[in-house]
Amino acid sequence: MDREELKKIIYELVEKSMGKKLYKPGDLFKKLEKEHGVSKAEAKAALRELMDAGTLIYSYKGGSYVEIPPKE
Amino acid sequence: MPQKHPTPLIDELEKGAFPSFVKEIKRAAESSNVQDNNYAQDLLGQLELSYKEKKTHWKHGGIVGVRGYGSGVIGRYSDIPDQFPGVAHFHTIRVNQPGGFFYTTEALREICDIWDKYGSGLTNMHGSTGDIILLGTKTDNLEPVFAELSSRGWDLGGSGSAVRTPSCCVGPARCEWACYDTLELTYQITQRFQDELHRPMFPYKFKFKMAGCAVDCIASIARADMSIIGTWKGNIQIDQDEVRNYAKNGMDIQAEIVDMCPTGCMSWDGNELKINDEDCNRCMHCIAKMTKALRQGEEKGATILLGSKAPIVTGALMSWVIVPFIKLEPPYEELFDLVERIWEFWDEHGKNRERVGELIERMGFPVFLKETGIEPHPAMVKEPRRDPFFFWSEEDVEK
Amino acid sequence: MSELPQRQTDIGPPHYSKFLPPVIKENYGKWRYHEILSAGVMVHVAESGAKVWTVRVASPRLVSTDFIRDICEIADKYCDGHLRFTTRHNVEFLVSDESKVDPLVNELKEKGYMIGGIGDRISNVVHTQGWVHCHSAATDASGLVKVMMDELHEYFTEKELPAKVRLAVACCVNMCGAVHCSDIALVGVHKTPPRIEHDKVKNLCEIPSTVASCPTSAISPDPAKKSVKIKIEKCMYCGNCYSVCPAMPISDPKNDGVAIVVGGKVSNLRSNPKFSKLAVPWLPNNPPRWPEVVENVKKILNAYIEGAKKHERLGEWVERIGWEKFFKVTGLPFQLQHIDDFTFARETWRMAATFKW
Repeated sequence: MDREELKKIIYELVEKSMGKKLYKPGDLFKKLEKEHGVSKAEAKAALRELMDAGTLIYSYKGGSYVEIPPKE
Repeated sequence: MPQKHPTPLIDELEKGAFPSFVKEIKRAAESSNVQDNNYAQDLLGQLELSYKEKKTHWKHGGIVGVRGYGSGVIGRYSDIPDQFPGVAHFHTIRVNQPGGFFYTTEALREICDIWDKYGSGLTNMHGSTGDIILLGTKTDNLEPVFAELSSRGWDLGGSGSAVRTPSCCVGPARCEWACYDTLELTYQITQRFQDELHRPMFPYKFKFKMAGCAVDCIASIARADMSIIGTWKGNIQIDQDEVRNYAKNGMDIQAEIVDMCPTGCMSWDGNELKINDEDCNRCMHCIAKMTKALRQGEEKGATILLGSKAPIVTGALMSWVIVPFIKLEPPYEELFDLVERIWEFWDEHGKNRERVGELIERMGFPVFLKETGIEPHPAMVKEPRRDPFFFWSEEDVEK
Repeated sequence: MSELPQRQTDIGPPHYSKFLPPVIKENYGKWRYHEILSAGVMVHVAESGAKVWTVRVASPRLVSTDFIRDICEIADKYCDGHLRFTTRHNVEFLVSDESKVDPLVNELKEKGYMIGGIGDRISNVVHTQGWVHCHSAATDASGLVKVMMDELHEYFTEKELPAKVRLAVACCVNMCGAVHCSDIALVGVHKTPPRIEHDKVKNLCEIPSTVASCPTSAISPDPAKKSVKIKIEKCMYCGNCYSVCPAMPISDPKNDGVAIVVGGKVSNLRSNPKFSKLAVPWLPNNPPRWPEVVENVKKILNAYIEGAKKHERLGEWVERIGWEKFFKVTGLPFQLQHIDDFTFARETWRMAATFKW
């Protein structure tokens, strides 16, 4: 899958679940593999780009999750 | 000038013989090296209030970190920031310590200078996991501290659901009992798993601790998901003259050594110490008490144990044996391969916040061995099972 | 603000070889034996005959940058600019020239450093952050360490014990210190269940993970309130839910206290590593000097000194005499809380008719 498209899917997954479910990176990878046939390595690389750009961030709530940065 | 708070309660802890942490906070509050004394000054104020009210005044976590990393910064906020604005933000930065905790004064001063510029001037040398802990700064300073540190060769440590900063005992640097190079292996593991350390992707934390021998000065068996403990094969090497010297200098070899041997594999006739090495379980007692006379066997390596953790949630675990003996020499590929197989198993089955030891307990040790391709060995158990409820797989039964 | 240097990621720590003193580098992996010369000085001798003397001093772990600069100055003067820390927060000065050992020791003494912690003594205390930095602390950790060591410091600087006694302090049952495997350890405990701030749960917490966090299944969803509820009689006050859900604070100043656990060890010497066991279930949180806690720690330590054989760790001594006798010789009351009703309970009940009166 195209990297930009994959990034968009990841972002939307996180965005849509806001307030309902927190995703751990592992949950995202499993979901992407199951629903889109994306390999873990691909998903990891895409998530890393999203994190490096600050589009997504890691949060800690008794464990690490993926979230959208809070608006200032 | 930062506001000084009266601190009659914690002032009591400046008294007494043992070094005082309150004195240290006061030093940081008054130091001319520290650019912003408000952190330490307001920490004193808030701590005094905690002592008065018998409760903590720190809020739960929060989202802070440096860009791209999900690990290495612990967000901390005061729950009474109006009263103590200096600690409204008081985030911790974990800096990956060098192996064996060795430093040059030049390196330490470099870290102090950076921290005085951007933080509270307070540190832990070291935190429980092993990192250098830089204690207390605000969100806006995180990127600058990281830029200053990383441009000088320092990186952050682990936190959250990631590989935690691996750490080790003093090892071959200054100990005759190190059965493998704990410092080098720690360095290589840390480098190999940088991605897993900085970007939390696991169900929960994963700790490595490298102990050079069974004395376990790094507490690996109690505090690491993977405990790598040095051991040996072959006979304990005895210098009988030195044994006699210990006896001459007042050691009661029978009572202190022979009778305390857990396997009863030793005897002493007043002149010669005999060891039946076949029965020795390599506990290190005799070697540790007669450092000059006894040395470990010559074939060195390590035992790998898995699974320890503190009692949260369903009780404490100590690591148990999964690999009785492994040679540990660079490039350590056999070990790394094993680690990756274990993580795959954990990734596949682990629940949120479930440590690898708890997962194996839940799924069964045999299932773990089967899925990771590790052969069963009697060294893995204290005794075989007591119940008759065991599983067979399809290939074990006749069709 | 001045221009920042270029950040780098994923570089890991500096390689340790950059920081090793020459004598260590030259004899790396070639040490032959060591001898303990005094409470705070030992010498390691290499195959080559080279020697390195180690002088150990205590630190409060929570140290200022000025403290670090002070020890750097000493290390520059005597150790060619090298020093190290131990896993228990002590500072070690390494000297390859014997003539520098006494002057170093003298200067450390003059400057008020506490030298010791080597051999069969009490070394420094492994501990957590407490009220200095932690959101879930039921008590302070640095304070407990300080008041305990103020009383016991002679066992660091001078007096010998039957074997090493490892102390630890954890400010809550998360036990970020090695409390669960120490000779004598203190742990901050709660006695009352968490309170649920229903209006905050929705924003701060994920309900499924909050429910899953409870080891005794005491927490269930409360859909009407969009929150959770607790079956109070099932709650064992571990605070794990609070780690996951900030809207469930558990701190209770009137009832939070300190428990003492004893008899743990991590080394394999003689007997296998052991978990610590409960000696005192609750003592009042009484800062700034926690007199009840200190008194009970001394009671346990004194009974151990009185009863243990040479080389016997506290847990080994208790196992030899029996736990029933431990309560007798320490005078500590045995109560309902000492009997395990959790995960490993069955293994701890006495399934034999043999015990001591």
